[in-house]
Amino acid sequence: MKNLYEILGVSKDASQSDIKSAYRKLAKALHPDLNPSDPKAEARFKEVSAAFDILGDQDKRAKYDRGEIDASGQERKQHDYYKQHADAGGAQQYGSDASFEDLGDIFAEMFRREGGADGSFQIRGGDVRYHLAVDFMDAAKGAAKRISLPDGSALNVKVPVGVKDGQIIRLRGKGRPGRGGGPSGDAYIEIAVREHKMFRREQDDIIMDLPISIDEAVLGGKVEVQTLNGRVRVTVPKGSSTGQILRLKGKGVKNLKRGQRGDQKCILKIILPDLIDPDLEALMTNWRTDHAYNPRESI
Amino acid sequence: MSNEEDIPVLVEGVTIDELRSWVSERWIRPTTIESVLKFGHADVARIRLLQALIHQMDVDVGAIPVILSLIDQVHSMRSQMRCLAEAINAHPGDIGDELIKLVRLSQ
Repeated sequence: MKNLYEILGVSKDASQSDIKSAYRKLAKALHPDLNPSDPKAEARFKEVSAAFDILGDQDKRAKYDRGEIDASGQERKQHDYYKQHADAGGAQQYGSDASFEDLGDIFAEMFRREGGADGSFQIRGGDVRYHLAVDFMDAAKGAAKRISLPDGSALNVKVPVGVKDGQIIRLRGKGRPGRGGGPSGDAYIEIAVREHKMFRREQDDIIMDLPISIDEAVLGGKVEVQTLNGRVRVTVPKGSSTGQILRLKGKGVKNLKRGQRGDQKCILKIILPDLIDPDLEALMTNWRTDHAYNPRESI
Repeated sequence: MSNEEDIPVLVEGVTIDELRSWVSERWIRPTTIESVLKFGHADVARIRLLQALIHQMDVDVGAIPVILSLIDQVHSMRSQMRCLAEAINAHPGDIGDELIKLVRLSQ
């Protein structure tokens, strides 16, 4: 690793104000927003800023000089630069008033002047778009997939855990090749998640209908439930009704951003036996004579 | 979307007064929703750029409109160039390579 003084281009006995002015000079030359098309400047700027974080602070500089902290220091907080928003079309309120309607002007410019960073004209390769249908379980748990391309080659796609229907994955540099030494474009893969016969997704939660028998509904009981990661036994409380929800905490889809899992919600559904036998009929007739109730009272 | 009072937390070294002066100069153009100023991600990134220019690089405040105007023009140009490059790429024939040849000849 380079010495921090070398990175800022100052001598070891430079004063704090020398260091500050060296940093200012480099920042003006290298700040990514002042060099929107030069990724090398951005890498250099990060290096210079990290060096200034230590040398610009007298205490940290003394510690560095004594070898108590090394050049790696602590990672700088990563911020996005303005150019990323401007390039992505997210800063249209700042669009220049200058008119570029005269395309002829731009063509003239393109043909006469240098284009690429090294002075030669380059064109970045085009972006390509693909669709990829994945099974519900693969979307919930993540998977490695391969897309076969028309030209016979294949593209490996890592489907991230918890990917959502319609989400777009970007594979940098996997688009069409650039021309004249320009970089390749990117591949954008739109994910379609196939339906599951049992499960549905709501954000990080898994929703399923859980059929229970009439006796389980009245008396309660333990039932086996399928989850993303195998079967678990859950308790149906005594007196459960259709529509009530059993929440299995942490049995949903892992949210990569928050590092937590969603829940599985089982919506109870009372299912009568296929055949109403004389016993059940007798039981109900008997029960109804003095326990009749009206579940539609509130509607 | 962030509110005015969130900005000094998001961008270290910027005060509310300073932010208001940048907004009144129209260097920063937040959206007004129900008469409250709302700052989007691009606005915050631009505030961070102004903070770097003024407080880290010690650029004279009088030079800021010149710098912003040039930066905005560069981005408009880049977006035009991107459209053009995409159009060239979308062309079914191999005009990309032809263009490169022509450009290199005229350079």
